[in-house]
Amino acid sequence: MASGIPISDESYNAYERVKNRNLRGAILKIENNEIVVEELFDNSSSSESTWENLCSRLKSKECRYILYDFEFTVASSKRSKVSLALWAPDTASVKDKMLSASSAEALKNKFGLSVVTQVNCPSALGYSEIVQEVGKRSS
Amino acid sequence: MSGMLYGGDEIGALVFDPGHHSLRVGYAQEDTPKAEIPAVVGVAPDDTPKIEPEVKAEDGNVSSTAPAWKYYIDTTFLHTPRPSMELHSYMKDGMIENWDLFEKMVDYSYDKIIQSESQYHPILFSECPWNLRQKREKLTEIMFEKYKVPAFFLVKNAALAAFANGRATALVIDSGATHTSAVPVLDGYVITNAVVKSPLGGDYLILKAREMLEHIGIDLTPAALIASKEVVRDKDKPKYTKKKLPFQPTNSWMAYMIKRTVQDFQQSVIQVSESPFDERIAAGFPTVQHEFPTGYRQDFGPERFKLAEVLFDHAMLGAGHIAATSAGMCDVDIRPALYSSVVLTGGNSLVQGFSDRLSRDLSSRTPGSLRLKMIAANGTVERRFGAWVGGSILASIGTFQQMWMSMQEYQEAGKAQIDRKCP
Repeated sequence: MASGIPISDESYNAYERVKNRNLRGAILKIENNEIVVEELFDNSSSSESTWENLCSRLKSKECRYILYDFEFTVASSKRSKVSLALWAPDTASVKDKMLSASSAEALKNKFGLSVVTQVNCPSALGYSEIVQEVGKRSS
Repeated sequence: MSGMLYGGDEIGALVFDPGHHSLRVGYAQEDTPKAEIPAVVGVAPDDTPKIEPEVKAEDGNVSSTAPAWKYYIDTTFLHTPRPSMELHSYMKDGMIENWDLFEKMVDYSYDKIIQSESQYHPILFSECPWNLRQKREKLTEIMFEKYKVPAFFLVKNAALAAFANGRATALVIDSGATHTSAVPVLDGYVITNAVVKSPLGGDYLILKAREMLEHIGIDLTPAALIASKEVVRDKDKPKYTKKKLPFQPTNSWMAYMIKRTVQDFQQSVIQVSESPFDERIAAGFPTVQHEFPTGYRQDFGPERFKLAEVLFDHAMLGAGHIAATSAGMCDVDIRPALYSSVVLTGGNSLVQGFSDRLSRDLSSRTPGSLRLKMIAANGTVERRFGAWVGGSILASIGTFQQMWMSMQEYQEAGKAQIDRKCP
C-alpha cells in the first residue's frame, strides 16, 4: 500500500550512477511531494569513511532515504551490494514518518531492489551493523 | 465542486476508525479526531404521538401503529436513563456486525460531527487485519450507494500504526477493548496468516475488576443515578441518595453504566507489575486510593497488580506469548526485522506498566541473537488514536488521491473492485 508520491528523474539517475560504481551513495528526501536528491557522495574514499560522513549529514528530526553501495567481506570474499535504507528516527514528526514509510515501497520497486533496511535510531547506524542487515536480507 | 476531486489540499477527506470501544471520526490533515463516539447505540421505542393525515388505510394489513424506534448515540444521550432504552453494540470480533445500527452511527457523524453532506467528502475507513471480504464489500456498497461518497479507501489499522511510527515492517501489538492482537506487517502489507488474536483485552480486565469489587462488597451505583452524596471516611459505608426515577432503567443500560464506573477504576488504579506477579513484591508498592461515585473511598494495594496479571500470565493467550507466536509464524529471515520494530498501540496498552512488562516478556522469548526494540508512543493520543492519525496523514497526501476508489470505478466495476484497489 503506497502513498503514490512520484520519484524524480534526478533520483533515478543517482541510482543508476551508484549501480554503475560511479557514485558511492546518495541521500534522498521528500520535498514538495516528490522524492528528490539531497546530497551525493562519490567513491573517492573508502566505503566505511564515506558512510561515516553520510551519517553525520542525517538530521535527528527528519526522515530520509539512503541509497548506498556497501562493500564488505563475507567468508573472506569481497562483496558489494547496493541497498536502500529508510532513516526514520523516532524523534521525527508523525507526518514525516508516515510519508516516508508509505513511500518506501514505491521507491524500492522503482529502483528494482529487493529490500529496504529500516534504521530508526542513531545507534543502529554503525557500519558493521548495517552491513550485517544488508548481507542477511540480500537475495 | 467541479474539478474538486483530485485537487490539492482542499480535499476535505474524512477519516473513520471504527473500534469496539468507540468510533473515531474526523477530518484528514488534523492531529486528532473530531469526535470519539462510544460504540454503543441506545434503542428505545418511539412513542411520540404522530400526526396522522385523514387518509384511511385501505389495506387492513397496514398498521399505522407500527413501532418506530428512536436511536440514541453519543455520551450525552447514552448516559441519561430513559425508559425502555436498550443499549446495543454494533461491533463483533473487530468487525462491523449490525449494519443498521452502524448506519445510524454514520448518519449521526455526518449530521452532528462533520456537519456536512456525505457526497462532498472522500472517506477513508480503517479495518482490522482479519476483516472478511464480504464485510469489506458490504461497507463499500453502503458508502457508495447510500452515502454517495465521491471516493473511498480501506486501510488495515495495523499498517497505519506501523507507518505512523516510521516503519514499513513491524510487529504491531494492538491491545484494545475486546482483544489483543499481534499483527506482522511487511513492507506495508499485513501478513494475514501470521496474525494471532487473544480475547484478553480491556473489557476482560474490566470484567475481572468488577467481579473483584463486587466480591469485596463495594457498591457500584453509577454517577448518573446518584442525586447527592456526603463525604465519608476511608472505608466507611457510603451515604448517598439515589435519584428518584419514575421507571426502572433497563439491564443493558445499568450494565453499561457500571462498566464505565469500573473502567474509571481500572484506568486510575490498575497497574501491571514488571515481573510475574508476586504477592510480597506487590505488597511493597505504595497503595492507591480511589473514590467511587457513591462517595466510598478505599486504598488498593496488591489487588491492582493481581488484576492486571490476567493480561500476561495466561500460557496461550498472554500478550508476550501471542507476540512471540506471531513472529514465529513468519519467515525466519524477516524475524529480526520484526523483533527490532515492535509497535505497541491500542487504548488498553495505556494500563500502567503494560509496555515495560511486555518488553520483558518478549525479550525472554526472543531467540538470543535477535535484538528486541519496542516502540510505545508516550501520549494517549498516539496510542488510542494511532490508526486514526495514520489514516489522517495518509488521506491528506496529495498524490494518494489517485489511489482512492472513485464513484465512477464503483459504478463500472462494482463492489468487488475494493479488493483490487485496497489489498
